[in-house]
Amino acid sequence: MGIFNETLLEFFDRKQHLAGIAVTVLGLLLIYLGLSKRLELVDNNLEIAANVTVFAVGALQSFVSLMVLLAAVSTIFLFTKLSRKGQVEYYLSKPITRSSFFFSKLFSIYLIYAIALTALSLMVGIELIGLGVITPEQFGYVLGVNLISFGIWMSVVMFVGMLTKSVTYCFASLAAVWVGQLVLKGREGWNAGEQFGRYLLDTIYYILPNTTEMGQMAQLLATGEAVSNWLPIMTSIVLLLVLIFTSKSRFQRLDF
Amino acid sequence: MVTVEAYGITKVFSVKRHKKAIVALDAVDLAVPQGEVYGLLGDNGAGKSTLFKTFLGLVKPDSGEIFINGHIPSSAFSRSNVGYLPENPKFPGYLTARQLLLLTGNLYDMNDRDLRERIDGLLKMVGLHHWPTLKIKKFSKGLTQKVGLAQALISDPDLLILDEPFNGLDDKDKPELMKVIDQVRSEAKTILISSPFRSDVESLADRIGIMKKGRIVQTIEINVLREEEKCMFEIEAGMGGKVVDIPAEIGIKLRVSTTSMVVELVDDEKINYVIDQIRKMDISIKSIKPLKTKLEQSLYRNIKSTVEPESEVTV
Repeated sequence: MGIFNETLLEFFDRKQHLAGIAVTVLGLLLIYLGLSKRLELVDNNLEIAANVTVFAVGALQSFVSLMVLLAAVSTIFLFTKLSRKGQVEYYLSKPITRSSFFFSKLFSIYLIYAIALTALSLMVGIELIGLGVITPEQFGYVLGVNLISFGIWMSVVMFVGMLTKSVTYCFASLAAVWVGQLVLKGREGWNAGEQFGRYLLDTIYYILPNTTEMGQMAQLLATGEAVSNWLPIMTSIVLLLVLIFTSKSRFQRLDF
Repeated sequence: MVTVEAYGITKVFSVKRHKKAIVALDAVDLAVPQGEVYGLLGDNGAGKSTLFKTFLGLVKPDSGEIFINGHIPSSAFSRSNVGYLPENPKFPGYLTARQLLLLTGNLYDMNDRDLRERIDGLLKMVGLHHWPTLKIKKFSKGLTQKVGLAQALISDPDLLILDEPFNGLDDKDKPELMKVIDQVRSEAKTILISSPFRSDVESLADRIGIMKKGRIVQTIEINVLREEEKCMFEIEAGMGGKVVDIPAEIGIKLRVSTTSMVVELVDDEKINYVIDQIRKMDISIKSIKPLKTKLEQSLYRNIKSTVEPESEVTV
């Protein structure tokens, strides 16, 4: 029994897998209903077949990104708990360094949720692959990008949780980042005045996690189209690393 | 060899909401040699838990130095030979007692075979072997304290830190836990134990420190106090209006009523003299009991005389 097993038992004890399965079953049903009419029209028509694939990849991306967000929300309790007095005292009174405990817990949480996300996405992926509307490679692109996206959302939750110890602030920050990136995505059409204003908006946009843009990137990759701008994924990964190490540094300074 | 050494430990917590600072520890010095049981007495908020937490690296002092078995608390190695039972422990509730002990043993890097044997022994010792599948979240307060003690003992540490181990226990659980701690004590381990109540620590401790407002205001050898205690007796007897004379070289009368008398004697052997005097006056004695209140009076006196003006001392 190590920290990974203990985190896994907590995951099952909180019955989060059941919630995940319920959402997946609903997702399977909706995707099947959406696809069934389109599939009737395909009948050797390559253009319609391509549209069905685009629809299927889009549906898969929507499903997986929804699961990523649900998973990120589910980790809020785990990370705020790490910053508060209580259970963490039990671990830190043992011969384990704070860094070692922090990274063990972080990787355990990430790995467990990533495995759960993969398993649930596979249920949808197998359905779509079985229907012949996507290939395993396309599924791989969508899942891969979303697993990175989950890491980014999780690091936001962890950072805010470690800083504020508040579940409410974690929820609020997830919502703020989600809305912020959507709003800033349309910044090209804004009248930002001076050059400085444009730079400022761009900077804020690239500092915020760009998970929505990453989702679109996954769809482009899956449908074989070229990705022109890799910056959103790069800046998001840099942000992820900054948030993880800032959180670790904060955790090391906390009194329990 | 000194197991715990603390020099000038100070910790101030700032409460931002109320814009004020709370001095949790104020230049605390403490040295506990190997094999000693040190009891820390003090009211809630006196700083007992904070002091213990500084020994484990859970709270970082603002100033001062701490050495646990010669190592600073920020080093994980300093905790390799320490068992800790926190006040109001919060263990992972989704684990059973056995799973918690397995996890704890792994955190101490114990090998699997030794660990499983140790777990079986400890579960029996604290009486938790009857609940192999019950999750900790379903445990009563008594069971939680027992599993807490078991996890503190898992690595057979030389230093045991027990922060209010009897907190919230009922009359059934408390003696059981006391018995287990007493058993550990007989293995010559160094134990730090805290409580707001004297009765929780006096039968276990070799030395008692009294903590108030973040300071250890007095340290008392428990044997010395016990010697003093022996000399106070309450004699229940039908004295009526009769006056029993006790010469100064024997002792003094502290309180006399028609039915009882409290005496403080120069040594406990002198009680025979007092009994003879009473019997000579044809007064029947119903009971004689040694009074333990003196320790409490001493503790109180020590606190008062150290931190407050003499005029306010009440004994």
